[in-house]
Amino acid sequence: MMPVMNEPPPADQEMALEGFVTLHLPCRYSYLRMIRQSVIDMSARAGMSEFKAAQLEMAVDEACANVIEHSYGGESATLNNPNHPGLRINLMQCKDRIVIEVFDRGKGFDFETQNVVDPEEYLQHERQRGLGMFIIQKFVDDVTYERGTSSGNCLRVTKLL
Amino acid sequence: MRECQIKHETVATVDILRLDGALDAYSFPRLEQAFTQLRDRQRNRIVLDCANLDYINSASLGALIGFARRVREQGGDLKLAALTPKIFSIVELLGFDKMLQIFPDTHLAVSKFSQG
Repeated sequence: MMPVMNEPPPADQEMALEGFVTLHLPCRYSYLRMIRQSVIDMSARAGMSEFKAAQLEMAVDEACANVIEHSYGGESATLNNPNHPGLRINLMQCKDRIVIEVFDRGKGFDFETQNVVDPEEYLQHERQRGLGMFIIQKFVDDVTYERGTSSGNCLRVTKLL
Repeated sequence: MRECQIKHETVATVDILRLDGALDAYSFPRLEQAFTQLRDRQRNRIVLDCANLDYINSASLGALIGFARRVREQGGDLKLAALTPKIFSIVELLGFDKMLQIFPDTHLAVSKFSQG
């Protein structure tokens, strides 16, 4: 049987890792900068355009801020609390995409029922919440959320190059 | 990528806030504080110089929209100037460029106030 030209490679080839970084960070907003810089660096390494990288950066920043605010109920009381699980972030560079996982061991949240406000609605009403969830969902190509896995809650975003 | 510094400058009746660094969940209270100070002094003609702004989160964008609404109710406005292509792409993608006036440079944004 002749091979079919232009057939996309099998999914496992697309998902083969070409780069991997793991961050383990305190539950503090001051560390968001470090997370964003890692996303930008990984995006540049993968050859992602600056505009796409900016969208991924914003989606991950909003996701991590959401975890601190909603899953953990706010920042940890001290900067160096060894008992606080904090955030663990896997940044994975694959052939045609970047996948980023944000793990936490907070109470999690119901992803399906989170308040999502689109910008049109946002502009029509007085300041409200929910734009962050819109950004997480719209600025990446895929987003999944698993609550209470053995590794904790996991928000996974995928952005194609 | 730096923490956000906000420098305040007054040119005649216009207040310029020069944003330098990243506006995220950590630095957001500084933006709120700057807006509160302007509100307390009843200043309502504001230009945000974004030339050195390298990141803005959803809460900060929301604060800009809310503050723009407030100052417009008092006959003023909040104008954005000198956005980097990266920040402009985000603002445009979210459709906030329809709500906020954006100028290529701060001088032009300030001059628009004197034109009425």
